[in-house]
Formats: sequence, structure tokens, C-alpha cells
Amino acid sequence: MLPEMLDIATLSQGYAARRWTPAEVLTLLAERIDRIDPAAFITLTPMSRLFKAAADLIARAPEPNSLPLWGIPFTVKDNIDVAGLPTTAACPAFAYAPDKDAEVVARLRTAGAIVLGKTNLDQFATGLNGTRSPYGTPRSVFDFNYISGGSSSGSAVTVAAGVAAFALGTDTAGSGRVPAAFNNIVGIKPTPGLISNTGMVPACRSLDCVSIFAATVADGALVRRVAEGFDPTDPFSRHAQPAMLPTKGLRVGVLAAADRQFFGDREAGRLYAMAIERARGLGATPVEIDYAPFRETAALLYDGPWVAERLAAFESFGVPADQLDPSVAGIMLGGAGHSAADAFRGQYRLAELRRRTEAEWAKADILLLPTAPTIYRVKEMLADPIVLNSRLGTYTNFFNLLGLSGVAVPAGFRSDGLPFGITLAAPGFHDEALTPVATALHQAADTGSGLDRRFIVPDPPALADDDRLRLAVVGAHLSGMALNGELLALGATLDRRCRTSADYRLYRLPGTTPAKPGLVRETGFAGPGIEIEVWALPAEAFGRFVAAIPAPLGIGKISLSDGGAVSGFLCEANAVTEAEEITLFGGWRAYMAAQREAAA
Amino acid sequence: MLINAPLIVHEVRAAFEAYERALMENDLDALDALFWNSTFTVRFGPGQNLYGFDAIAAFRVGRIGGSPQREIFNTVITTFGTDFATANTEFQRAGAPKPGRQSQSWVRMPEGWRVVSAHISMLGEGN
Repeated sequence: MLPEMLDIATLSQGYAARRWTPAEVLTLLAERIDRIDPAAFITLTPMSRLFKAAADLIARAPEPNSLPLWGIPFTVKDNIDVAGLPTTAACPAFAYAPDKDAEVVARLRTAGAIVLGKTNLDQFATGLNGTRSPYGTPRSVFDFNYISGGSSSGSAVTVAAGVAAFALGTDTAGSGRVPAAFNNIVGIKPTPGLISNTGMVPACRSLDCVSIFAATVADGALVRRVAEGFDPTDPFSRHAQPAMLPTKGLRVGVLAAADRQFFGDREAGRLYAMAIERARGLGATPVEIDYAPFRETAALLYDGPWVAERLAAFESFGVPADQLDPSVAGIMLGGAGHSAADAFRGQYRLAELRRRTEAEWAKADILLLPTAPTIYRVKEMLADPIVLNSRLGTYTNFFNLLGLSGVAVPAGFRSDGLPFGITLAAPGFHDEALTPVATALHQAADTGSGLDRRFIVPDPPALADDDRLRLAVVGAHLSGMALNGELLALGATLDRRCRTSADYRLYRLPGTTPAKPGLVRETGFAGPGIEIEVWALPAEAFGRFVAAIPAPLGIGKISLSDGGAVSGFLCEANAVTEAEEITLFGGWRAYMAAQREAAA
Repeated sequence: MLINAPLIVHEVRAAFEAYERALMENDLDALDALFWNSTFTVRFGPGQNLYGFDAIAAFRVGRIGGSPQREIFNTVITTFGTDFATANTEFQRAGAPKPGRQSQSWVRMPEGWRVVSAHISMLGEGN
């Protein structure tokens, strides 16, 4: 009845067609769970709670798909809190019973998603291989002799085996990408700070990220849009500043021949070269970059003082060192040798390296890298746990130190049937911008998804719906701002950021909650132009949205700095006679940031 | 619709067997607990038509010694979706000339699986 691979699009279509109900899906998955790798889960949600969750969903939102993730089953890495299930971080001595969902879990459940259980991981998310857990070693779904990758091992396996439609992982050094590569699925590694870390067990707190595994990039992006958003309770949370990529003539940075390190895996080298050719075939221009600053940043994570940050996390756990996995203990306690002076020297070194990467970002819009250089057998990993693990992070360790966004996608199979993956990297807040190119590369690789090598990766909704209408937003609807959720709830996606032509003035409208600006055109005025965002949304959603707009705002045509025009928010001129003019800030986001700064 | 999903059949079979056990032990609390506590619950027995949970519970209290001891056979449990099932069984009461039949409808209520309607009759009493 259910497809082998559980993509969100197919599940939702089945709900709409009344082919299955959430309770039926959960029943079938409970039976499927019994047949997959028993090491994938640490704790299963009891069946009675699953049925209750399904009944609660029907009571709260009876119409199928009336919430963004209506009845979508997912799994959660066991270092992220789910109320009512223990959090172990794969260390029994550490286990506790959280009384509250992590912020990211709460957002997903509010959107209609249902937690199937907590998944296995390398203890305290320390590792990239999946063997460092007392709850068993998950394996690649393609070969029981091979590692699943880690540290988000169980989460990746549950998605690849068709048990969960998506999964939460965490990714400090590659834990949300390496297991995606080893299981032929998509791994979304958001810009650090985009998704709240409140309710997650820290590994290396200034670098930790919640990540998402899914069957397709479109599914992963859908989940990310629900999960992301500023959270004042997470001190590392950031206000998103979405950035766009050119739609034509994309420059894709690739490794020069001398930098292509695959530790003897010739097939990985071949598959990487093929992925570059596919990017060229899609119209992108491959450009060789100097990989040295990225490689040196990666080395900093485990050879530099950041290991002391892991020790800081460990010291907060109150767990005796003899309760740790030996490899994990070696890394955590190894942090003790670094001084505070070393920590500052590390920061200086990182700043130098970040400056050097800027020259590479001037050459390329995105990078296309192998996700992992090769894959190892469980037996090999156990025999040489530190060296082989560090090899797995060759192309992932530097991302969070540099604040990058990334998407890992499948990129082919070796002749022995084991999967190979690539990761697209971009500077921070290109999370949305990376999704079309990541989807195109996944489709072109013809890998299927997870265990189902014949799975057809659907075209992303944005491409299929080119009759969608464009709407320019100016104020509280900008991404990450107070009313942005209204757009997301209507299925809108960010199309681009741009500026109005010079003849617009911006005002803060008095007495509005949340605070809103008014955009007014004045012929002949020569200002800086106002920052706006263009969102795409279905026609009927556009109608509903417009009907709800309060006076003195309305929708009219806004002229753009590039000479074009787009429908967007304008304000009646009589409403701004008493209003404070804020044109010189260049946009509502900059004005609000200045207000916050002034208040702090 | 999902019909006879093993996990759901397993749940209903467990509830059905618990009911049979309670009946044989005349465990009134357990019997009451497995019937839906509602005025809409119906039980038609060979000798009485009972409408509503209270009438059914009162009948059990008044039945001295409880149900006659019986063997059940040819039980058929069929589940529809995740929340509804029918359970039909034949039974042979000790010393009775012919077997009887019991038909139950079970529904997953928030409190668990419950009988929402039941009909018991004896074979050969009609034509």
C-alpha cells in the first residue's frame, strides 16, 4: 500500500486522495520498523501514543494537508529532546526525561508532523561513522558490512529504509551530510543559527546545527522552512538574511586535480568528476578553486582549540569519563591540553582563513565537493577508529567554522553498489537559493533515493508551478520577520531579493502591531531605493492573502531598480503625513536592526 | 482502506481474548471495562435486548454465576482501517444441544478498544 520510499509529496497526495489516513500510515510503518536495521532506533514512540497523535491531528486539523506537514512521520536523533521520550545522546549514564520538546521538534509537530522515535548516533554526536554507540552500530542500507556514517546514523537509515519521511539530525562537523551520502539520501545542513538549537544536547556549542534528512531536496527544504526562524531562547540563533544565487551562468567551484583526495577510492574520484560534468551539462560553469584555506580550516576543528569546546560541553553533562565510548573519551578529554591563549590564537587563525576563503567565493558562487572521500567497512572502522573517522570529514569539517550553508545529494553508485554523494556549499543564508541546483543535480544523477534506486525525483514545486504569482513584500512579511509565517503557511517561496527604484520613500506607520512600514512613491524623489523580497505563491493563496490586508496598505505595482515592476505592498499617501520617515535606512530590515541595537 | 493490518488485528485479538477470559471468570469489572460506556451501546442476547451501557452492566450483576462455561471456535476478526473491527465467533456451551454465535463490533476509543455492539444467538432457534 505505501511506496518503498516515503517522500512527503507522495504521502500528502495519498492523504488528499483518501488512499490512506495518518493512523494507517503509522500502522504500516510500525510493521516496517520491525524489518529494518534494529540498531537504527534507540527509543520507539509507543503505538498507543502514535494513535493518539493521529487522533489529535484529526481533531485539530480534520482536512488532509491543512497543515504544512499534516500526518508526516519523522524520526529525531537522540540528542534532540522530544517530550515523553528519554534523551540519551547514546550514553546511558547521561539519559534524562525531557518534559518539553526541543524548539525545532515543537515547530514540526505544530505543523502536523508525528514523531516515530529517537534514533541512534555516535555518542554525544562525536564521530562521523556510526560505530560509537552502546545501542548497536547502524549499517549502510546498501551493505551490512559497511558503516552508515554518523553521527546522525539512525536518522539517515530510517529515511533511506522508507520508515520515516524525514529525520532530524545534527551537524557540527559533517554529521548531517556523511550519513546522507552513505545511504543515498539528501542531507540539508542549514546555515548555523537558522534553526533553533534549544533542546539539543551540545557537542561543540558555537558550531552545532540541527540538520534534516529527506528523500528529496524539495522535501528537505519544505521541512527546513517550517523548522527555521529566529528563537530568542537560543543564544546562537540568528535572524535569517536570505541571499540569492544567479539563475543563469552559475559558477561552480570544484577541486583541482591535486586536491582530489579519495584515499585510494578511484571510483569515488570517477563519480566526483561525473558530477562536475553533470553540473556543466545543466548550464553551470565549473571553476577550479584553491582548496587550501578550506582544508586548513577543516584541520582547525580537531587539531585546534575547538576540541576544548567539546570538553566544555562534556563537563556540563555530569557523566563520569569511564562511561564514555573510548574514542569519544579520547576526543572530549583531549581538549584539556589547550589553553585560553590557544583558543584566541585559534580565533585569529580562523579569521585569517575566512579572509582567504573570500577570494575563492569571488571566483565561484557555490562549491561542489565530495560529501565524503570514501566509505569504510565496520571492521576497518573499529580497527582504526580515529584516523579513518577523520578522513570522513575531509570535505565537511570546515562548513560551520565558516558559517556556510550546504546541501548533500546523492551522486551515483560505485560498481560494488555502494553510494557516493556530493555536497553543494554556499556562504551563509543561501539555504533556499541552493535548493533548485541541488534538486537538478540529484535528478541528473539518476540515483533514485534511499534503498529505492528507481525512485523518480519529482520536479520541485516552484518549477512545476510557473503560473504562480509574484508578490513583493516590504515590511513584517520579509523572511524571518514577524508575519513571514503567513507567507510560508500559504506555501509561498522566496523568489529573490531586490530594491525598488529610487523614487520610493519608507515610513514607520504609527500604532501598528506588529510594527509595519508604509511604502509611498514620489515622482522625482532620488533616494537609496528600498529593500524588498519577491515571493512566489499560488494564485488562490495570493487572493486570500490580499483579501486580508488591512488599510492603509494595499497591493499595487512597485518599480524596481533594474527597471522591472512587481506587485507589492504600497501605502495610501494620507496615512504617512504623521509617520516617521525611515527611507535612509534603505529598508525595513535595516531599520528594525537599528531599533534593536538602540534598545540593547 | 487498510484491512487486516497485522498490528491492528493483533490489538483487537488481545482485547477479544481479554473479554472471553473475563466472561469465563465472571470478572464484572473487566467485562464492564471492555464495553463502551455509552447510551448507544447495544447488546442483544438470546433472552434480552439491552440498550445502553447501564442496562448491560445491570444484566451482568443480575446474572447469578455469570455466563455458562463455553468453548469458542471459528473465530473471525476483521479490522477496517485502524479504529474499527468486527469479531465473530461460534461457541459451544457445556450441555447445550447446539452451538451459539456471538458477533461484536469493536472500536478504538480514546480509552482503548471497546465493544460498541454485540449480538448473541443460538443456532437452530429460527428457520
